[in-house]
Amino acid sequence: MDLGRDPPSSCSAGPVGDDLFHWQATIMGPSDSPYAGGVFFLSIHFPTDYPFKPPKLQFTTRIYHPNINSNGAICLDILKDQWSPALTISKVLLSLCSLLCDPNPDDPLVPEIAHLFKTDRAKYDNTAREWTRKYGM
Amino acid sequence: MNRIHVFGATSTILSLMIFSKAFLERQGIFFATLIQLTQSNINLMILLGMTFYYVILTGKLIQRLWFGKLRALEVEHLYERSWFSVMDTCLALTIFRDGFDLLFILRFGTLLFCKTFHWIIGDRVDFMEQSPDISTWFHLRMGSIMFIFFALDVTFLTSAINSTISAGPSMLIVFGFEYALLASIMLGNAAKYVLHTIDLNSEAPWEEKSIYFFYIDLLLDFFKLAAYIVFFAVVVSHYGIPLHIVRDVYITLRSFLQRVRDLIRYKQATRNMNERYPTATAEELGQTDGVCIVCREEMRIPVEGLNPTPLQETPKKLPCGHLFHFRCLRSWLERQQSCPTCRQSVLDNTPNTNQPLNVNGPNQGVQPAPRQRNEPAPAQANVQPPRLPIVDEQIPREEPRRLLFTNLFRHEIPFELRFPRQAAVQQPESSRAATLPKVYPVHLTPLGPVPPSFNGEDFELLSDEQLRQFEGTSRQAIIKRLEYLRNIQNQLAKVSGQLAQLAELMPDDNKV
Repeated sequence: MDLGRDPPSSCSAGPVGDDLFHWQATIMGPSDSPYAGGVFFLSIHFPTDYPFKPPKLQFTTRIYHPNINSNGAICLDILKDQWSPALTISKVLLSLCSLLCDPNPDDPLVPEIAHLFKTDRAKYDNTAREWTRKYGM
Repeated sequence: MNRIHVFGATSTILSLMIFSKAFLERQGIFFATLIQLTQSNINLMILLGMTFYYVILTGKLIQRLWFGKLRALEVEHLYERSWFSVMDTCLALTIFRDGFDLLFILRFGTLLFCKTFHWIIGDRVDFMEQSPDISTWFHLRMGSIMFIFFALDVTFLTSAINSTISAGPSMLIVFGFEYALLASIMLGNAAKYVLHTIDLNSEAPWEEKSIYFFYIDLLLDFFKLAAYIVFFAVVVSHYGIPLHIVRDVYITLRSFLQRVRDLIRYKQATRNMNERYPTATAEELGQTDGVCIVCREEMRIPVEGLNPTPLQETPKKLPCGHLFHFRCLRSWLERQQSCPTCRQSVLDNTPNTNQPLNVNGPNQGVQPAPRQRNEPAPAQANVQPPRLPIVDEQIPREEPRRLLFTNLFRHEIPFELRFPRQAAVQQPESSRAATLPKVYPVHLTPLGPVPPSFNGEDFELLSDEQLRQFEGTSRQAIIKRLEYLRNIQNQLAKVSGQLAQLAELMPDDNKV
């Protein structure tokens, strides 16, 4: 809603066709992360009782991240029980950007990636870069 | 996918072969053929394999006819839940060891088959709220499939009850119990489906919907819990502890208790909301941007007499000072009992007389805090303020100076000034916690001493000699000036350090 007024530089979002409940969004991989240079697409579904219920976000571009699984499902507290009606799509997308920079391996959705992130950061970075090149460019 | 078809074709051919072989050997008597087939384990395996394949085909067919393509989420749920379901059944086998035979496998297969579709139906009903364009076709499909599976549930349930009554408790009570749960879940789904349909067909947003949803879930949880307890009791009295449902019982119990707690909190937070939360005054509204953060529409103060604003549109103030439309606030409090902006619980009824702090919540840029700092805070008024350990000694504590800081730095600095004073009063831990915002239990590095001649209003007292020294070019004067500059630099470094500390204490809404 405030995307138009105050668009964050690294993300964008807008409705798909006439259906105002279904949006598409893009996030540019943050430059200080292994996702730099990648463009990641997401689909956003708004429940009819938005903003009292969180929107449903899903990555449609594959991404190598401890908190995002192969279906693109995102494990982020503000999209679940920490949702607040004061949050907007632009804020949610910004939070996702910071999730890309700072993964949360202690509450992982993909334990293998989280383990790698904790034990062998360089290898994780490499794989994430490779996936970004492969799917996000 | 191809592999399963190869498997299906092979097992079908094998089944036909063994069947015709047995049929020929038994001179074409059908019943005898069946007897012979069931005598051999290998034959049974082949037949089971074939049945498995056709069950999957039937499932696929039903899915095509009634659901179309499954969404990724539905598939994910399907895998996840089938896994749990199979695990639970394996555990169930530990109790009903004698019951494991062909019949059991068939029954279990049927149960899993039914469950699968209950899950998909549940996901589809949930999906309705995200898809505003629902075709008649969708209603036809959902209506019929829900009816079919509900009928199946009831049929299996009654047959299980009948056989238990006539032949005593057996493995069947597990299945009876499972079907009872499935039937109740289906009723819940149907109720939600009806609610969604009503909502989608009504023009205005339907605000009470979430409450009905809540009651449905509560009722379902209650029924589930009751069913589990009955089942638990029956199994314990006849067999032993039913290990396989311990996890489910725990989850259900927790969920039920959570819902009851939610209900109580919700009732508490929304009881006579109009009196509970004061209507915002024009002044308070003027300090904000006047937009309700929830619906992003403007808030207007009700004006007596002319053009009365309906109650729904009245701006209401929460204990934390944030303003929302009555309508938006109620809809949110139905779900969570906290402020949408700063997440402070609305149920903590500590009056905030001493809290000029406005924690920047998820949304605010700078929203002016309720300006209460012009009036002396109660604690300050009657307690002779003990001298501030460091800051107070150096900086004269006149009100104007503090206000200057206040205006410069908004909320941060006055807090810094306030905190050491309150800490120095040696309040007991609990009362301090009540008066201080709980986000800030951290001591800040105090500012360093300010050189005496920086006590602002002393400038008048400087002698001409001293003033001349300031502009002198003698070695002594330059060293003095350099000293002052270094002092300023140190002070600035300390201030910025403190600001950084404060910034760290601020809730960061961009971080997870």
